Amino acid sequence: MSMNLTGSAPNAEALKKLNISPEELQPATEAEKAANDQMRPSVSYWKDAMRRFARNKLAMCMLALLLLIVLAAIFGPIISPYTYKMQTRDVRQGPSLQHPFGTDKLGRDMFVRVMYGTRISLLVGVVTMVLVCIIGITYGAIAAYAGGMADNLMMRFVDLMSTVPTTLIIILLSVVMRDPLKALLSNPSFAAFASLGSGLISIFIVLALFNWLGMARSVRGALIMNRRQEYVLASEAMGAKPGWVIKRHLLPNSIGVIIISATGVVPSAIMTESFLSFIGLGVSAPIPSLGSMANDALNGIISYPMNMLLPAIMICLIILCFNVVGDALRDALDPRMRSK
Amino acid sequence: MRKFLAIVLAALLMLSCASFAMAEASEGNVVTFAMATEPNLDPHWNAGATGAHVQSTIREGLYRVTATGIELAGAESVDVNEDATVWTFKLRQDSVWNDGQPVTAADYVYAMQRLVDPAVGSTYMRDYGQFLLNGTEISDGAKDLSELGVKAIDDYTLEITLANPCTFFDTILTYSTFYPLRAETVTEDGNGNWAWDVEKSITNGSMNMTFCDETQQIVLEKNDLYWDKDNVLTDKIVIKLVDDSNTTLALLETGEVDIIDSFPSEEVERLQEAGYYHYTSKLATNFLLINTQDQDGANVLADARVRKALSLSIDRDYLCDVLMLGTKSPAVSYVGHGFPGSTADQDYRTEAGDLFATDVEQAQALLAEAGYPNGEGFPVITCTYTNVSADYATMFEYLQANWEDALGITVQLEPMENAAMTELRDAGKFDITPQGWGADYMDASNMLSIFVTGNFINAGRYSSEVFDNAYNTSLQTVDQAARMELLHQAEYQLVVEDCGIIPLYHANAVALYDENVLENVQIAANGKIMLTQITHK
Repeated sequence: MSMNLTGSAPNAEALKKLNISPEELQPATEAEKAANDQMRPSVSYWKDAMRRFARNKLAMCMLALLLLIVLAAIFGPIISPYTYKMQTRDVRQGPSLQHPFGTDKLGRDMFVRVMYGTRISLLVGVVTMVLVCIIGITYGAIAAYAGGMADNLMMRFVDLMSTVPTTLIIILLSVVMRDPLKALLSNPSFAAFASLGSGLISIFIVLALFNWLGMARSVRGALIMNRRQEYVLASEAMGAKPGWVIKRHLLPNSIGVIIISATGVVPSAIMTESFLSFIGLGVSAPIPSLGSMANDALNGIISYPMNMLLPAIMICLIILCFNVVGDALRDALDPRMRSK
Repeated sequence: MRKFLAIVLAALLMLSCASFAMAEASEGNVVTFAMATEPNLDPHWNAGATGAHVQSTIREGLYRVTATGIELAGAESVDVNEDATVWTFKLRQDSVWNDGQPVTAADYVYAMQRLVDPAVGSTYMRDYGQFLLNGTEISDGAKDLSELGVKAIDDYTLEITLANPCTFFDTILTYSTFYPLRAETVTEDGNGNWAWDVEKSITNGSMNMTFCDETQQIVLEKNDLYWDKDNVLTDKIVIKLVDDSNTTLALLETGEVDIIDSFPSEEVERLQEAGYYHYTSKLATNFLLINTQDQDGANVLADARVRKALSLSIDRDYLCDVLMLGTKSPAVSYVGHGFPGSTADQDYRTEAGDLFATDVEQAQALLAEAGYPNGEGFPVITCTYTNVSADYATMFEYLQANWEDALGITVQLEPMENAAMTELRDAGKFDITPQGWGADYMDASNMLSIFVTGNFINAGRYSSEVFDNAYNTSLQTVDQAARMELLHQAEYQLVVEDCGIIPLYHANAVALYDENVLENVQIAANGKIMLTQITHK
């Protein structure tokens, strides 16, 4: 028989009351203790979300693919002996060791061009996302916190904006903004932006202008929900200023919603940029964008299908990756909204 | 339910295919042709090639264009006085309008008065009106319409008096501007809409227009009243208006159209192998218009040495043979081959010789001489061009890289929508922009005419006294050899001395069709497919 670990005999009276015989009352074995220790440790929100995300195999694959694309987009043009605008005399070549994706009608290496185009697409996606976050979060937070008439007016303005046919306005705006932007960029104090080109900057602006609506709505909804919580009331009762409450309590507790909205913006921005470049409104030649490359290939689509397929596949892959990862992030960050 | 739906849809699809097939199976020799841009059917408002093409089948003037040259059509005979200023035509008595009335000299007089009438203000009022006696004065409003040098001596005798001697006036008369018109059928609406009206439009050509939807298609049927109907081999021509060249090519390859004249140029090798591609050289030149105006003294392109450096550094053979896959022929000057020279069987170009060849070293030397050695200090210049043409995109991306490599200068490319570009170009707000000019009549003077000071096509505002003098003197010169010599001088001044434009290439006139389906396809001397001569195998 094992020894009582406390050294004192169990209280027979108490055991009787509990209807337990002294024989049953044995000290825990090592295994039993270990089992107790295996109880789930307390995990933070982020750790929990990451764990859920990691369980999603498809999303992990897509994330890996996305990372691969990002690395290729960054390092592909650096390690290649060619540049995106270097014209060799080997025109319209098929894939070879020298040119893994072949060359285009001007003898430019397609691999470098596709990677450079991917870079532009990713840049557009990320920059637009950042701009959308800044505009959308500020706007949504102000509306939610102000409430009442101000909220009502601000949200009706959002409704109004969302009735505008986006594609049409984006096309119009990018045409209208070209010349003023060009004049602005020729000013030496904007020299840092000048290398991006007026086409790309006008795309950033128009995309940000028309993609923040969804973000503002989600942020406002989430904030209003959190605002009704007692801890916010307590904070306010203790004299917290609105800005502090928003920054300290409301936004951190709405981070899931923000991330979900933000990942949704990226693929749609990339898609719009490709479309705009396809109709000739994006980056200016010879800088390649996936959309403008597809447009270039249109003239020989049957004879040289590779030049069309490569940028098209790349657009598909990027968008697919962002959508799957975004979906998985939503599942991970907000289990209540989990898609079945 | 879903299965049922699928069956219904499949049935509908088959039905629609069947109805298509039935529509195609019509009687007679039907030729279907796809045309890229909407034609303008008013002889005086049209300035485009497609309008001239359709009009040449439904209307007819004093002359017509054949595969080898021109021949009399609406006139039986012509009598030209010694200094080529009075042209007297005997009209064909068997030529009638498609409502049965005879075509008379008065119809020609009306048409030519309408051309110069300032109240109508037609597109080529001055360009063509200037040839006729008092034409320019009438357009200026200084003289009355009745003073125009075009008179009907009797119903079948037409006398045209010219402002200056012109030995090649016959080739000018082939253009649609000089077709006869029936006064009562014309409604002046300022854009030629009346000409689209199948009911109202009375014509005298080999075909009648029987259906016309300006956005979809035009149907022409053989005119049984046409005097030369035995030489019209088609019974019906269906012209489909399709503006996208990939679609046009797909229509040809699926057999929905029989013949096309434009296609995506990158597909040419495949089409050559398939035996679809047929071409002749076209009397047209594509060149770069350069803004030569220098109002603020900051336009580097106002310096002829800079323009010449740009021109000499271009490898036109590589551009045409490799980048454009041989669909264009490199220019060695501005006027191409195919124009008559000092005698009818001489060639203008061969006589004048090549005016330039690629010479990168000389180009670099010229640029250095102009004050920009290796392109140092050279400002960024912009090339503005329409985004419709894939050839232009290829060409300018080549030029951009070429000029950067050879001369060390930075060039921006600005493709834009066609209407926006036309506006900028006509306002003179550009550095470099592409332009093409196809001869309306087969004389080198027509090619050069657009660079006379003040011509509206000359948007770069190139202006040279030497050129103007040589050209204007040539207009008054009867002796063919002397006239050609003057044109050579004018061209040398334009292309070599001043380098007012940068000629790049000559386009080809193309006919794409399946040799197993069509035969007797000819391309006329003016580059247009002779639609009425095509037969099916």
